Amino acid sequence: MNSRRNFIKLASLAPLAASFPAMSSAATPFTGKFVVTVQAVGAWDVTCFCDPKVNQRGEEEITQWSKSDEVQSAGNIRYAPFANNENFFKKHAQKMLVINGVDALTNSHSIGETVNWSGRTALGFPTLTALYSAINAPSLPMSYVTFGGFNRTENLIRATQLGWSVDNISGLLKPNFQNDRPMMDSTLWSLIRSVHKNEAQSVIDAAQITAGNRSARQAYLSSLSNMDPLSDFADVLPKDNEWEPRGANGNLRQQAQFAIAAFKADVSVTADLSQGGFDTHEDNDNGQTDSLSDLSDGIDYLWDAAEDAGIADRLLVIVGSDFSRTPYYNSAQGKDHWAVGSYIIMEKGKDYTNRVVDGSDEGQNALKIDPTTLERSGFGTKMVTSHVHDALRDYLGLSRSGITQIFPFNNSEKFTFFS
Amino acid sequence: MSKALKTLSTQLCFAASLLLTVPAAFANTTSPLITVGSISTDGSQSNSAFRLSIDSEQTESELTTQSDIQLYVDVVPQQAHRDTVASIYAVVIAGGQYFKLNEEGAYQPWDGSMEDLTPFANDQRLTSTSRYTLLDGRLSDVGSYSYFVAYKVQGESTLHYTPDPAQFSVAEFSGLLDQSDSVAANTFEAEVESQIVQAKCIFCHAEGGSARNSSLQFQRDNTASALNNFATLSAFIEEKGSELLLSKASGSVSHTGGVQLDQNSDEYRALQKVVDQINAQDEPAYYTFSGSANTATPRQVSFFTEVVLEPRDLTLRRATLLMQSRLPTDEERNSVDSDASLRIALRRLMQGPNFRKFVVTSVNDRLLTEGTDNPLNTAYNHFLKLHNLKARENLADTNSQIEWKIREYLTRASGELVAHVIENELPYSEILTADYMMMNKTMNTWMEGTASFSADEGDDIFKPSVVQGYYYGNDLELVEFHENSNSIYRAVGEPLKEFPHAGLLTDFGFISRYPTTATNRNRARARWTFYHFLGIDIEKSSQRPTDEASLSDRNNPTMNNPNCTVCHALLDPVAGAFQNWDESNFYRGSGNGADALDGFYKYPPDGSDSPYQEGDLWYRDMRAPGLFDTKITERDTTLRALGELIADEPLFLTASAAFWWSPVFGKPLLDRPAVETDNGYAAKLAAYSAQQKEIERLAEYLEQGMNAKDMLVEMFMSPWFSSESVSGSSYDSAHLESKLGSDQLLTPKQFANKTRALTGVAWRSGRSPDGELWSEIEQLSVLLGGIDSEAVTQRAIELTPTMTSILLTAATESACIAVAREFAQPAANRRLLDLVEATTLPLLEAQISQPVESQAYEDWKTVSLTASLAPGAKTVKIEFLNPYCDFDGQNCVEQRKLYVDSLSVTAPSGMRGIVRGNDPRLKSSYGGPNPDCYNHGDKHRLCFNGHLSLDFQAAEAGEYTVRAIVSAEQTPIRGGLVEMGLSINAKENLLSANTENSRAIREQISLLFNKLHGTSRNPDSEEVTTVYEIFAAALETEQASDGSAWEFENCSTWRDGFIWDDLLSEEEIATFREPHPEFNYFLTDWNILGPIQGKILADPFSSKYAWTAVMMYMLSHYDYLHE
Repeated sequence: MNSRRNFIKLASLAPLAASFPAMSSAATPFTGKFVVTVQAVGAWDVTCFCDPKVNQRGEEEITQWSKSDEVQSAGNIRYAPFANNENFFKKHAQKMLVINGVDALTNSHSIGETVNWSGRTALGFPTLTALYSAINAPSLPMSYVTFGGFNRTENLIRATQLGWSVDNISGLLKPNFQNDRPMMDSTLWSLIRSVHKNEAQSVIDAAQITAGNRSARQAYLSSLSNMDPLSDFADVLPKDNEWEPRGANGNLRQQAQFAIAAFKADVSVTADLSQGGFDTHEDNDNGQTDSLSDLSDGIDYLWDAAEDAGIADRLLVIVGSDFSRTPYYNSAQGKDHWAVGSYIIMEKGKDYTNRVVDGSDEGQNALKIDPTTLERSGFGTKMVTSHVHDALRDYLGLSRSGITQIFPFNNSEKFTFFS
Repeated sequence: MSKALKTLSTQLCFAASLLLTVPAAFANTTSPLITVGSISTDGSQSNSAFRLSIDSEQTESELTTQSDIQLYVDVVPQQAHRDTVASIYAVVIAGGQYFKLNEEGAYQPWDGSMEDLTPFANDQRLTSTSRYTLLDGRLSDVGSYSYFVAYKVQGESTLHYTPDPAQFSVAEFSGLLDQSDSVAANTFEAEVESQIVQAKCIFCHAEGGSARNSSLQFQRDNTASALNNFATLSAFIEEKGSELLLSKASGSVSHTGGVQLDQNSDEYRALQKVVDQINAQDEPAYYTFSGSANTATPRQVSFFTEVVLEPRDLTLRRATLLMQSRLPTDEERNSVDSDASLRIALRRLMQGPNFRKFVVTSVNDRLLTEGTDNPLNTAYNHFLKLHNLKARENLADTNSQIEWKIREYLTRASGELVAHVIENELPYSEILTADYMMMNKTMNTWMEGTASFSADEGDDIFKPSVVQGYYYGNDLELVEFHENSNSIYRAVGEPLKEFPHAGLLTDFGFISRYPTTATNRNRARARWTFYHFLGIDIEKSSQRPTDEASLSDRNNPTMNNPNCTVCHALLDPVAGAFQNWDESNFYRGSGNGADALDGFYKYPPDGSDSPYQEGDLWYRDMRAPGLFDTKITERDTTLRALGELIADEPLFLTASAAFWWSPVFGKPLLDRPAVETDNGYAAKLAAYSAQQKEIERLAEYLEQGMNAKDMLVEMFMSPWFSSESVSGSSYDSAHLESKLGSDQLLTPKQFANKTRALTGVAWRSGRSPDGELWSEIEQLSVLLGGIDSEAVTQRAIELTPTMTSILLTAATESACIAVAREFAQPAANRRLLDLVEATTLPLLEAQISQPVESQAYEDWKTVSLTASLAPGAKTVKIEFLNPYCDFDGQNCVEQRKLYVDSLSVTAPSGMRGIVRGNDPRLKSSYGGPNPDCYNHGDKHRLCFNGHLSLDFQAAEAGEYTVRAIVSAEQTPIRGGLVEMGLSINAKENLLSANTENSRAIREQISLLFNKLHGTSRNPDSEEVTTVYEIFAAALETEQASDGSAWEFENCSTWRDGFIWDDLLSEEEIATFREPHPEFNYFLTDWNILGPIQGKILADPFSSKYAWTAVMMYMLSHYDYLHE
């Protein structure tokens, strides 16, 4: 058939299409952990959540719930009887490592986001999730998914930003398809894309274009090379009425829904979920009730969805915020910014979970912790975010990578959170 | 397209020269490269010798682009040549090209001939050993270098030269440009940073300090401040000279800060020492070997010296698409033949509705006003007319969407104000001082503005207007009480006489995007005011307190604790200037308009004492309103006073340039790198410095007449907009950090606008019956790299697989629609495919189409075609152009049929050949088990679809006549007649065909490259050939298709909401479309539209399918997705 002959001729123009093994979408399936961060944007009040504090005689009121209630426990995890905490902690305590008393070293939102999710106050480091994706699955089509919040990648990988419009995506990932059949002959369409790739590669190889133009063309080239799995992914995404409803402070359930679907479909390995509504300078308790309820609901949904998808055993979730809120109320019954906050790290079936690192005192000041025993110690060290990030890098096997080594933390001690 | 490349002058930007001043940290070593005996050009005996060696910090095998290299040759002449006078030559092979060293020490291309070989040294008296330096500096280009050396004794023609070259290689420098190791830097850190800079200078020469407008701006103490402050000091000395620095410090010349260092003090001597050490640093020469005579001269390389800009016409194209959402007109293109004329053309683009849309989008990218929830809460009754309207609607359970409309318009008003100021060339400071806001007709009506609108002006037109309908609560009286804030009021007093507009500072979208609270006290508004209009990022300007004592300090720390006052002394006075705007975003929203203070402050719920006193407008436990050192004493229009103070600040100029950076250049501004040990720190700092240098340059254009067009023109003229290629890689890392390059990924709106303007396709967009435009692009914005102004506030600047997948979906969905649109119009009206018709097929030599007016089988008609043919193999085709079957699921209720009795060909000589309809030489399309045509009866053929073809050999040149005798069965219900085509085609290789039509197709493809990509591709170029082959492959695929695959007639025209508005008259549209009586969408009568659509989607020649493939290629290409 003549058309075949023409295809063959076109194909001969496309020898470079097979020369990008690193970018090939046919890489070995990823079998490692899926890493999710859940960013509580605006600074959560951990005294109403995972670092419960009760009012102290002679001190300013730190929590209103403690006037009539006591600290609750689920397994070894202590939590505040607040919002929807009871259901959440009872259901998930066995998966939790709670690290309280982590000093963000700032009370500024933008720097708080930076330090909590990259590990240091100065810009210039990627998020843990970007690092993980760059090392483990750089060629997956949406290896690193984000929904806003802090998502710097430092050029290691290109983040897939989704935001509020996540539920609009499923009908758009099948170029050249109309009503489930290809518009243009599939072979020809594939060759058109090969021609695009070859042309892009040729321009890049010419080495005369500026670095910015080269980088943009590389992004196009790698996108063309890696996008094919998205077509099948579109088939497993929820349809219009199958998306979870949006919440008052965001669409955390939808984000979780998407992330799990993307993990399951082998198109992604990390996701940064985010939810706002925590910056409660006025009427702290009502605001935190709404936001923490949505947050715990979203995380709960994430785990349920992971179970349904059969990937819960591979999921690691890191929950955190910019920092925390003052251990006292202001005149508007709000709480302002406070540098000492918490992380919750969740994983199923691990020995390090169902545990609290108790690094804050009754006034929510940071305490020194022995890096090995994780007990309070006068000879210990106050925890900062880089300690947590450093330990996570080790635990996730990132520290050995040369990529990680160009973003070094200069901690003098290592905390053994995961042993 | 001729590439009139423009290279930048080396002096344009010299931003990062400081980085290059890296003195030797350890001693040089000498690496001998080669010692070689000479040979001569005439074959005579030659016993001279040459020794080539390299002096460098690195060994010969470790040289990089950052190695200081001295390459020299020792010439040891043969005995007879000693004490003679000679000329010395050097030739180098670099990058595969020959260069010769000239007398100026520069390398220039050598054509390899003896005639072109010139010496670098003349009149040299040769001694036993004579040394000559061939290189003294650094090599910019990675690669290997091969050196040949020669000499020629005066008066002789024989050249004595090295038969073998001295070779060495230079690698890319991949380490850190560690200037912290320089002697000067070490001295600075040890003796100046803490003792002088942080102890004295920092109080004035820092962000927000009284010397904030000096070019000497230090960083407050942080991990990188020593290095950064050293760089700052060095830059100042570079620019202003060391004498001025020392004179200012010692007070011997005018220094606002007075005498800071006594000339006899240790501190002064330390500063003097650093200055001397900085001045003693040599800046290395850089050598590049690019093959151009203009660039082979050793010179200093800076951020832009190796950068080549795009041609002017490309700059004009990209700027026009950006600002006007269209291509330049021929007149505009022809007017540009110089930088001066380009400037004029660019300036002319800065007007009109599309320019205003560009500005509105740009302003929102910075202020993010679209992310605000509710800029004007109608539950409050300050805007009485609007409140009562909304309340009555709520009570009547009706909804005019007025609240949403006002919300949308208010979030756009900030951009409209900036557009108004720019377009009308008003002082740019008016964006902060305007005593009006921009309103459209709806806003003007319900907010009771002063603007006038004619009846035919819609809500897309904004005009300056002053609020006249704003009331304090005490001036209103309750008329009807209703719950849920739906009470009705009437005015009993006067509205506010002079609404205190102050440009963007009082913009409802801006104010509400950064809401205040009882403890925030307008600090967020102040923080973003500093950021957007003064370029000061307070959160990053100083480290926040990290010790618990500071954090738990309850003694009004923002006033008293130095850890806090470092920022709050700057921030809080500006917060005070927002004193009259409350947390509901209203001006003095309390009952009688007394103030905007929160109730928790005025009347503490716990009954404690408040410092509040009646008549206060601001908190007594905070700093008074003002900016820097200037207090604002005005009480009512504090923000206008603040706007005027900001506008007087030089920082406003640089902040304005920074404000427009991303919208024009499509890349974000870099943060100053903070940690010197970070990977890539040097490159980041170089890129950051270059950007800051450009911002200062652009600010100067704004300063001249406060006309933003002056600055914007220069931005479009800037290398940051148009850097296309490079001739060397010296600054590759820094270029990468800043993403320097002319290619900008289109934003979702730009992509939609470009597609609409160039192809006509309004992809997934349309207009509702009420006139409202809608577009799925809005919902897809973030997925395509855009922002939602809330969670996602930074645009993606490079594609991801997800974005690419969606854009390719847009390309494939749009491609067939674009083709359908084109062929539905006469060629003269088309945008793209004006050189071809649907019948322009590569091998087609003649064709006729006509209805078959036969009433039944055996009602035979003759269709004939006469054409002048060249000799060769031909194919005649009888084509069934409009097959139709009214299929009921099992059978065709009625069906068009075409019967063929015979086909004859008559040669010029009169010879005639004839075949009967059932002759096997007459081949049916699809030819397999289910062909389109079947034998019918003893002699005939019956066709339901497709075509019949007959091959014949045209043995002679001249006129041939082809006759087909056919009959037809028609479809009375459907109507119309069977349409038949008769064609003669050359029987050639489709790919190599060189027919008139194939040339037209190639010309057309070439034109598509130009229009859609802005690239120039010759019709015979490799690129056009590739696309031609795509066309040919698609054509053959479709012609050979069995009909089960997607056909052009399946094209989803409904993806384009404007296709019928563009192609049909209003009267025609009215026959099949009408507004839904209840909802805001159209109803379509497909019984009428179906045939209309069927006509434009008919593709009897498969050519539309083929052009769809071409358009898919074009619209999914990198060059289409970027501009």
